Amino acid sequence: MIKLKFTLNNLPRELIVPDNMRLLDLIRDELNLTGTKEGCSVGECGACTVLMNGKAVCSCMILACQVMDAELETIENAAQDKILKTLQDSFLKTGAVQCGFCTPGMIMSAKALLLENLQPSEDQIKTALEGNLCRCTGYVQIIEAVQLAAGIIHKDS
Amino acid sequence: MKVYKPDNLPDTLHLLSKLPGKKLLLAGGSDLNILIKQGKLSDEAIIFINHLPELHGVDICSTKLIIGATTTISEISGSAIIKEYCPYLSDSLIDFASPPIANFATLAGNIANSSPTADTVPLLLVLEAKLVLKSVTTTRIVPISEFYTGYKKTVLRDDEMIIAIEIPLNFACKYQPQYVKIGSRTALTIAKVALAFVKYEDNFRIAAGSLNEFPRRLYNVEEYLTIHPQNIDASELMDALKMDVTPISDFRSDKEYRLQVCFNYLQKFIESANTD
Ligand SMILES: Cc1cc2nc3c(=O)[nH]c(=O)nc-3n(C[C@H](O)[C@H](O)[C@H](O)COP(=O)(O)OP(=O)(O)OC[C@H]3O[C@@H](n4cnc5c(N)ncnc54)[C@H](O)[C@@H]3O)c2cc1C
Ligand code: FES
Ligand code: FES
Repeated sequence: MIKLKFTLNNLPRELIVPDNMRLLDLIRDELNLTGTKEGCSVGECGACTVLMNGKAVCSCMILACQVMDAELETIENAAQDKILKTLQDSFLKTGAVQCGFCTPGMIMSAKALLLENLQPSEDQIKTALEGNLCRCTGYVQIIEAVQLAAGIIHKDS
Repeated sequence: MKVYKPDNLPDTLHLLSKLPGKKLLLAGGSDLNILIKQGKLSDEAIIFINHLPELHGVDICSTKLIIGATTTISEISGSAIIKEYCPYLSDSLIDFASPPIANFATLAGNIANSSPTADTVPLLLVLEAKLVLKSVTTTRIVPISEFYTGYKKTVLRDDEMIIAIEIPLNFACKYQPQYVKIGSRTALTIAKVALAFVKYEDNFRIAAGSLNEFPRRLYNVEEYLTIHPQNIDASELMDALKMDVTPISDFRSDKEYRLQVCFNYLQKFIESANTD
């Protein structure tokens, strides 16, 4: 067991977790935040993407004890975070959500991109989302959604 | 499995030398965590290193670039120093995994994991990069071409770790190696063939991944090209290549395909180097 300290969606947390627990299980099973999804479990689909110190990471591939002292952010933070909220609205507006399973991961990867670049080109969006698979939409609406959100946030900033 | 989180490098080296049984360092964990999840590790001691600041970052001195062992693939491809002195290295990492993996996977982890398909190694081979291996009592600098000794085998001792990767600047700044990774798709793919190539003066440095038990230099091809700078005979070039590679067929690709694709890119690189 290992004692962990980190912030999750801006709130400080302290927990004791098993050495081999994955970050994804910590988030879903211990903290009951089920917005983060588990698809492939091997780092290939991106459904489990969360932000760690502002960078997108696959939470299925990281052990909980690797996040000591980190700032973590999950899709639940859309309730208070402007970038996440704007992305969420844009995804709905452009029809980028069909079954919705990939959406939390897509939005987290998109936020990581917008933190670095508020005027991304289409290619930059594709590169930022290349670790996130969507079986429904064909990606066109997802790219539009990110462009729309980037435009809104850039105008407001 | 027991996890250790040493406070600094000396404590890490001390753990490596003192702990009994098998020990594994965990940097990003993008290779190791799969084994942990599959339950393939039981008694091993896992020593975390990705939090150690002294192993982190890209630095430069007058003769070399120094990449700390826990520097991530994303940090290297985004590093201003790397972009200035070896832009081709930065570019080659764009196709490494995907951002949510490259954001925590490390270069040293890619090298130490010793996969035949390790994407970063062919380019480091043509740059004649060196690995700094450290234990409590020793420090040795090993050329990356001498690091691997067989499939998943290296010269790294049980009490040693890679603390840095060094890239000699005089060559890296002067020449522009080319690199290609061929997979089933562009993103998130494991290489079927990877090739790094550079011509300098009248010589060549060429290295391939996914074609042998570990990525290696193609010395026979290099020698053939140096001796025959102009009139290259395709079948002689193929014979030289066959002496350097031992491709296998697996679920990803078959050996004939790997050999032919490597040959095609080799010809393409030679042509573009000769027209420069
Ligand atoms: C979805 C996915 C996609 C991937 N795509 C690619 C790809 O495109 N190209 C590619 O080459 N690889 C790829 N990989 C494999 C992996 O991400 C890389 O090999 C990565 O660089 C490993 O780094 P790490 O820090 O995560 O290693 P870890 O998992 O932490 O360690 C890997 C091995 O190296 C050892 N080690 C780590 N650091 C050191 C050190 N400093 N000294 C000595 N030993 C050490 C560990 O003990 C372990 O045996 C992919 C993996 C996944 C899950
Ligand atoms: S569940 Fe983590 S990448 Fe698929
Ligand atoms: S909306 Fe169904 S997987 Fe993307």
